[in-house]
Amino acid sequence: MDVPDDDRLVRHAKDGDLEAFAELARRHQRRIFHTVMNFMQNPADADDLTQETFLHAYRNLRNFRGGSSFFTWIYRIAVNLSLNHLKKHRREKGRTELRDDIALDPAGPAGSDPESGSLADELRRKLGEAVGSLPVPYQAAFRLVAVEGMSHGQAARILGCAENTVSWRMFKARRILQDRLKPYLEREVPHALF
Amino acid sequence: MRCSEFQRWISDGLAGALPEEKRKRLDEHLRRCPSCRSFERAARLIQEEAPRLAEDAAPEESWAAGLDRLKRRLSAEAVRSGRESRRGPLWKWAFAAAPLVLAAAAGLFLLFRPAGQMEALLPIAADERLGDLSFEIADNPELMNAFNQVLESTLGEELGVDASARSGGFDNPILYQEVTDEELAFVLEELKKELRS
Repeated sequence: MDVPDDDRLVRHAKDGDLEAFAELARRHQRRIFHTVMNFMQNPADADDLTQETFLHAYRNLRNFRGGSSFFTWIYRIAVNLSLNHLKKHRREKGRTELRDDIALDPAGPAGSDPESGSLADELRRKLGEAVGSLPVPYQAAFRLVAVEGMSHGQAARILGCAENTVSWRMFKARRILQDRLKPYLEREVPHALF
Repeated sequence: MRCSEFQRWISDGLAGALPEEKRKRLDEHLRRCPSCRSFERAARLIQEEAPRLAEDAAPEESWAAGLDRLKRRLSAEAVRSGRESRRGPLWKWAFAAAPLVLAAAAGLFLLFRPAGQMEALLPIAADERLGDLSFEIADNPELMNAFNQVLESTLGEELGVDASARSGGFDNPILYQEVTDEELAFVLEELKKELRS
């Protein structure tokens, strides 16, 4: 059976074929969800924003000229909606800079406490919190490059900035994260000199 | 060169964005700089953990449910956009519909005006047209605004008054409670003409 590629589905969707667009959504919803989830850290918000991404794409489908793949296009929409959501959320909380209230345990990592899970799990959980507390531009670069595995160039195209800007933001993000996670990293990297 | 500059190279290197020449210089620096070695180890550890932040996934059944929900919303969107595309340019349509708007406004006057003798004159046909019109403009604030402006300017010209100065829009019932008998008589005349045509 002939399986239409994305380009053909986009053409059909532009002609009003709703099922064609639904098929595009079916193909890409998981990756879009995961991308949005990276930013939201909340499945309900990520689900809503995934829906909004596809609705936004549907409303603006006639503006999609095919200069990039359909996935790249909706990926960019998803990232932009996520960033807007984060910015709005932070404005509402009156928080524009790195927040200081990350729930890092003042006693440091739980270490051998069996109820708290492994040190690696704890580091991962705290890393998620620390990434979520980064200023939005740094967070966006970190999520696209370190979490999603994009190159600086790919992230720059998504974020609409220069590669050098992504490089700088990544460097700043790594420094902030190291500072915020110092107690946990010291346990994981015993010879590290912080 | 300062350590912070080498640390930026470390960051670039972890993203595969460090040219070979810089890599060699960085390696040389790392051999003699414990601070930068520490930065690299910690950065590498964070880098290794970072992709796992993306592992949280929705349950399998939620994908189908999410797609169903999206399809319903897309269908509603398609109906709405189809209706809008049939409308054509907003202002052109709004001006073309001005007589109908006047007729509908008369119906609105009668509907919202406190009980009185004029209500007995409300034609059923106008009520039906009003229903259609309300359906068309209810979900489109821009169109509603266009109607209001056309209606207000038309009334203003005919009555020699600034209707907009008094109204908060023709979707505002308060307006109709303030309409004078003279104005209402004019609108009714317009409504009769519209129905005859």
